[in-house]
Amino acid sequence: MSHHDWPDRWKDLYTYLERPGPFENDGFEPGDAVKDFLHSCKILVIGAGGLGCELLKDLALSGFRDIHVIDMDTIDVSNLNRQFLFRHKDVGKPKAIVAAEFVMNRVPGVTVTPYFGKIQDKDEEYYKQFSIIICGLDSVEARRWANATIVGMFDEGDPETLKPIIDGGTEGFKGQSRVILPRISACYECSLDMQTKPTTFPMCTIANTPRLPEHCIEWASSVAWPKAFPDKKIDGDDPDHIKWLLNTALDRGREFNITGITYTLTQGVVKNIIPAIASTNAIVAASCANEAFKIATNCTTYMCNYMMYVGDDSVYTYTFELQRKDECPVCGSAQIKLRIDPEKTLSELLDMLLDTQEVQLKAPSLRTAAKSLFMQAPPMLLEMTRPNLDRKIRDLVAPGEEITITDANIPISLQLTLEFI
Amino acid sequence: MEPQPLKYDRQLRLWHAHGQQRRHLARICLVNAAAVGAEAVKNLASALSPSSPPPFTVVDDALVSGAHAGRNFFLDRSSIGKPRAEALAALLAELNDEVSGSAVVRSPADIIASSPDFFRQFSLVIATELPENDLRALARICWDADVALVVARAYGFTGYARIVRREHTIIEAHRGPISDFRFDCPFPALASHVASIDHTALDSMASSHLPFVVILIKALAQWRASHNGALPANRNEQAEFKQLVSSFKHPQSVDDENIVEAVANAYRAYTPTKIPADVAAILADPAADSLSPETPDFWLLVAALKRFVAHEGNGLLPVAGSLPDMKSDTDSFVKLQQIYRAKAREDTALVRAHLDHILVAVGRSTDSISDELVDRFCKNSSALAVIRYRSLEDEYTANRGAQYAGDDHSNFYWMLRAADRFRTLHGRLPGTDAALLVEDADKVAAVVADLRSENGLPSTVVPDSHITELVRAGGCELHNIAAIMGGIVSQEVIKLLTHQYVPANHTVVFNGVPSSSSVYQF
Ligand SMILES: [Zn+2]
Repeated sequence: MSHHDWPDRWKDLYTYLERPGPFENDGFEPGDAVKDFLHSCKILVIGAGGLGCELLKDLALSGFRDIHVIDMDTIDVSNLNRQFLFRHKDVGKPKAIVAAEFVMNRVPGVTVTPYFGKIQDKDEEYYKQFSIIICGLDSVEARRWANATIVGMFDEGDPETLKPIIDGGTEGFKGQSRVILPRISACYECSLDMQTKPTTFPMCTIANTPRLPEHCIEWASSVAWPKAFPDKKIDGDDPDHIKWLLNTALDRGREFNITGITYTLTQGVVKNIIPAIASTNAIVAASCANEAFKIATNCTTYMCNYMMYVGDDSVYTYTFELQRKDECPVCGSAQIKLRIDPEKTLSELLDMLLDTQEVQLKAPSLRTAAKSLFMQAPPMLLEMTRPNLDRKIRDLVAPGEEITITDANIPISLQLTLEFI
Repeated sequence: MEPQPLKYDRQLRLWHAHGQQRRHLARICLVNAAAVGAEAVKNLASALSPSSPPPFTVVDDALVSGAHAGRNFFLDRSSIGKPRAEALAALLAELNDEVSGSAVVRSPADIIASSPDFFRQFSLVIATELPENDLRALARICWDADVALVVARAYGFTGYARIVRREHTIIEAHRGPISDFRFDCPFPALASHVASIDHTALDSMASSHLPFVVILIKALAQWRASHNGALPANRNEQAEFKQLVSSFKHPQSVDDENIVEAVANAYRAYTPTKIPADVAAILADPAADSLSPETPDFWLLVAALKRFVAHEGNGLLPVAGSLPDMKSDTDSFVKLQQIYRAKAREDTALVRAHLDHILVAVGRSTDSISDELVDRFCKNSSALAVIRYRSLEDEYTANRGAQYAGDDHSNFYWMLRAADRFRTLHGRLPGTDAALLVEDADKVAAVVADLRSENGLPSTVVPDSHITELVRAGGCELHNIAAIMGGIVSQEVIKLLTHQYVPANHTVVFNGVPSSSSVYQF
């Protein structure tokens, strides 16, 4: 018993950890060893926002005592209604630091180590120290990076390198939580095509035939703004920017007889705001923490492996086993084969790659064993390889020659072979 | 602050989340400060209007134990030994400057038995940790007083939530976009607008911007002219109709997005416009017939709607007046939108006139229901919903669980019922004494057998594994399960208070081992 404990503090948890049960996982041994492991293992929470605040509370009350949290954001007034560890006096301060302090004050004996910064600042050495990693992020890019990094660390010969990832996400009344055992169950990248894409409007509608208030707002932000302020980026949190966009959109609306353009809608379209509600965050975060508790103790079997939650029409969950993809660029052996006319240019090949749904590249670099075809970085290599973009494929590679693709934004590498047609 | 539930009750029924009325949100009562209840109140404090969360009252006479403080984020070490109601109310109130919470340090069982009127001041009660008999008594009080009750529970890895309310009415179910095109029965303004367009005279550019709504109304009129007024009835005719729709494509046009949209929506054109069955049942409900000054606004509106349907509506609901985005040039779309909107406004005004007659007849002023509400009601009239919950008493005396025999989550429901019965019989929950686990399992098995036969359930035995798991749990409350159920309960409370979205009917069981749930009507 730690000196921070009081009689019966962990009574509820220990009831489970001291008794065998019909749903226990393989390898569960009731007794003190499992309690000690729970209290001492290191767990990382990525994100200290709506899900992160809940997760820190849930983990601290689940017996985890060595919790780390990473978040690059500072507290905004708009966070206060859902992110219950933050108060008015905290506005402007780093989320990770404020959340860590709050939880440590409330739950004695728990150490929450914050890092105020980007997940990309940390290397494998850092991520290696954790037994379990939980992602409570709202950005697809950050989750892809975390997933690829942690799955990529796994070395078959060293079981210590297998880090279970628990991932949670919410949007309005909908959410999901999932357990990823690297190379054993489906990873985040395996199911990338399940992501709902943000609504986009065709450019010709925006330019020529607007019909909805959104079309007018989109015109204001993507056509009128760059013309009026070529050197200024839109800041969705700057009321002056939103007001300018609103007025411009209203003018366009008047011109086309379109009504319903409001400040709230303008801000929503410009910031692509994903609605978040406290109840869904609470449910998804607690189901993630529940899995962390089970993984740390084996006291029951784990979720297998994906729970979809929908709460707007009654209460609905769908829990199923998401299958791993053999050709996943992160946890499988990704081999892309493309049929291409060798008269096409390297630049056209890049466009084809960017359109490929299965891999969803952002900023690909390409090289063969012999030479760099196109490298996005460093700048010197970019300058050197840029002329290749206009050269024909047939002048750069042989049919069937292996090309390695890497991406500046996601730590993956995959093999591409071209078949000439 | 004086409780004023009755004063605001009527507004609360229909006005929620619209305008200033939010300020006077219902009062919520939390019976016993279990972690599951604390989590629910925490979410409510931030989920509803952040500047005006509902005031809550915690009723509990327990003193905070070491275990309570260990599993509840809103109790801490310093609260051990103090009244749990007070400690919880104090830490929850810290959440938000606007939250007002109060504590009643008194035994819920005592209040239930001796001052049942206490619960009338609330519009919603969340009950946790109540023994079987107290719970049933509280449910009867709330039922009689028409106070919504949500029973919440986190027990080992099992979560449970039960909603009990006599009647819950919903105007905004938010079940997806409402489509109301009237392809088969275009109202005069729509019919003449469509007739005024000669699509054969359009150039390829204009033709490719003809809205699919216009195409379908024209195509259907053509079809009916050559089929004695009948709609495409069988598969062959429907395929033929789609071909007719495709023939609207201009021979020189390269862009056929509008034709693709028209073909995709063709089924809507040959599906006759009628009142959805659920709404027809609401219109036929006796609640809309016997009107009095006490009739809730919802039913007065239904009565007005019913008169509209019988008279001006010719058997149909008011036109909804909203159009989805579609391939079109701006002018054609806006024109079409204006035609539908104008008709919706006309229909709404007629419903309003019926409503005014009704209000006068029952002795209420015509401005006691706003135009804004009538608008919202008419716009959503094809998606109205009414839920009448089973009373807890009916569930306990005439259970309908037989229909779920063999369903795994429903077995966990029976485990919770067995735990309560065990507590009534033995004065403690099963598995609380580590030395008696085997004995307790036998006793639970006997209780389960009794419960099932009392409820006329098939003799199929609940698996031993579930009984062993119940005993293993020893009545513990795991924080994560409490947080999951607290989340679900707060979500359902928001739906009950705002009358928006559709709450579960009536029992949610969550199993934290596989992490899955089911909804039952026991
Ligand atoms: Zn994968």
